[in-house]
Amino acid sequence: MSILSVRALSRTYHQGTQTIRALDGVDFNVDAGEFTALMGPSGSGKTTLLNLIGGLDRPTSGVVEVEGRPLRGLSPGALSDLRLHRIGFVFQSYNLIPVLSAYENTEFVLALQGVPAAERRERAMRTLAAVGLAGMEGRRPSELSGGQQQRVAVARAIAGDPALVLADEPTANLDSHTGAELIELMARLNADQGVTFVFSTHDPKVQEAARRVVRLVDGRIDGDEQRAP
Amino acid sequence: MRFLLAMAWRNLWRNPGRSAITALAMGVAVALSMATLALQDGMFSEMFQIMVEQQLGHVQVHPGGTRTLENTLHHGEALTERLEALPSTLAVSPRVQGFALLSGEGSAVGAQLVGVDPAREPAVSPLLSKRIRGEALPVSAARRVLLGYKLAEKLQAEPGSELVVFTQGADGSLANELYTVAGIFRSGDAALDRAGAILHYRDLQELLVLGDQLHSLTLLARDKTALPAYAQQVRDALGDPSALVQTWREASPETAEMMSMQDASSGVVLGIVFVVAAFGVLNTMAMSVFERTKELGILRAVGVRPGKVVGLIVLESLLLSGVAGLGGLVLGGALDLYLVRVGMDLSSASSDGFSFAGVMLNPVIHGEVRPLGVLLILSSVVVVALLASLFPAYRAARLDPVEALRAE
Ligand SMILES: Nc1ncnc2c1ncn2[C@@H]1O[C@H](COP(=O)(O)OP(=O)(O)OP(=O)(O)O)[C@@H](O)[C@H]1O
Ligand SMILES: [Mg+2]
Repeated sequence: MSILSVRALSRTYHQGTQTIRALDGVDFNVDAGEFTALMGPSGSGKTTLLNLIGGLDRPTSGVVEVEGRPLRGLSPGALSDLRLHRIGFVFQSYNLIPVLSAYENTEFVLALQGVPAAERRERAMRTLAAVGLAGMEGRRPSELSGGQQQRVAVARAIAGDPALVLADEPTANLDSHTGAELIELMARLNADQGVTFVFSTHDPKVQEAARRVVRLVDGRIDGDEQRAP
Repeated sequence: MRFLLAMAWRNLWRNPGRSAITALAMGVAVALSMATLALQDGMFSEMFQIMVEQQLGHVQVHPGGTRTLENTLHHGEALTERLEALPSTLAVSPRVQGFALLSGEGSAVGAQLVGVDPAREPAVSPLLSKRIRGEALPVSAARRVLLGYKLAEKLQAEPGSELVVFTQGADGSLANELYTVAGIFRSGDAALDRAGAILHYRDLQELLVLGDQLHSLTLLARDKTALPAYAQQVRDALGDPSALVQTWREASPETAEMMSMQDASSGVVLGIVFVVAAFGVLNTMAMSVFERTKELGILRAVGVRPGKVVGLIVLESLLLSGVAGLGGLVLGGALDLYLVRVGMDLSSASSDGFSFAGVMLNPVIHGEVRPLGVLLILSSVVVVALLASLFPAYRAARLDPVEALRAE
């Protein structure tokens, strides 16, 4: 079953007299359990696409459906609720709320979802352990390394049990070794827990872990290949 | 929600310097407003004492019609006793008024004669206690007089001096009597100090050939907050529809108007608190929202509704104003305590006492604290902080998440 369906999606920006076609008629489906890399050079539209999928941005034309539900016409509040319950986000850097500890950053999402306190605690602790941060729950983001911070961001993204996790260049601010470890972690969460990931990168090494690679060039899909795991 | 509260509290102290300075400014504004309000209230309550209780009383009884020497309340003694018997009466003072020419060591000066009952008057007004030299009026009539200190200067009279009182009685006869100056007073009421002569009302009744008639009765009620009802009781007790019974507000609308300035000047004080709180919160929260643009984008991406973002920012400014209000309350409480116990000495500002709107006040002003005033200051800080935070909060909630996430 497709949990994500993108059809004829376009997003244009106007700068002065210039029209920038950031996305230009993209068709793209994601099934549950996929581990998809979105590749493409800088400016090819990766961030634009992920933001549209997550309902952070609105398309110029075209359709985004998450679990069969079109995003068009949803209010900002309804889009917030959709993200809260169905979509996890991981960004390049400074993902975390600095005044909250690693544990609180993770628990926060569950609290917003209305999960009861006891269950919240159990799930947040388990998720942090799953990303390899057992024992560091009480640390604030400023007391964690870049790689550890990204792991907390992944924990926060998956804690609420979303249908889909969108990660926009999650490794871009990490050294290649730490970056590889993070992708490995995401791959393991995908394999063990069935979390569906779509992540963007322009690092060819990172893409090797992906089982599906979608290429974007100038706002268009320029290749979509399945790989052996 | 507990999370929002924890986040708001911690966010407040992310820039401790800025928050502390804002809270300090707001706290000092609260404290100074409390002190100013206490001083004002102290001053107005002294003014109330001098202008209302000392001069007007709570309720006055006059004969209806024009105020002339001949227009009087008859059976003065019986009326006085009947009003004294009312359960809600605190005190009654019968008064007789007249004009006379006083002559002493040379010059002759016109004077306003005030006839009071030395036994009853102290319960109604402190008039007789304003004596600065000499002796008190004796309880029974003995042709003795107290002079306003300026009048005494003009007459070159001292305690013990003799004066000739020259006046015309109600029956048209001329009276010419020898009085002894018992003492000299300084009341704070400029007109009375300049031309007032106080004597026993029996003496004045005799001078003016009035028998047992009075010109007015001045009353104090036990409860000064329910004067119109008390005035009605007095009316009923008198049973004389021609008598004019007025509360002090009715008797002296000018004084009532002046006393209402208390509310206006409290308004000015509150206005200062408003402005400081509004600018402090607006500035602090606008800066804080601006600096946290990326983080607000993250919150939106995680699924925090715009309404919750508003809640977060409003909560932060409420906490800020709460801290400021609490600090201000402690500081202001200390200032108020000092002003109530010790007072503020303004005698260096003017050597001749301190006058406000023609009333001489005690140069040491003592504060008076109204809990309602303090509550008003505190709640205005919180309400203004809430209102001032709405604009930054609205901006934070309306941020485009994509733009916000691109910020660093
Ligand atoms: N707010 C904007 N205003 C104008 N043009 C924009 C805006 N946002 C993006 N663009 C343009 O849209 C195109 C796609 O941008 P996008 O950020 O999606 O690319 P990307 O693939 O994520 O690039 P990168 O790898 O550098 O992150 C670029 O040409 C970019 O300049
Ligand atoms: Mg990008």
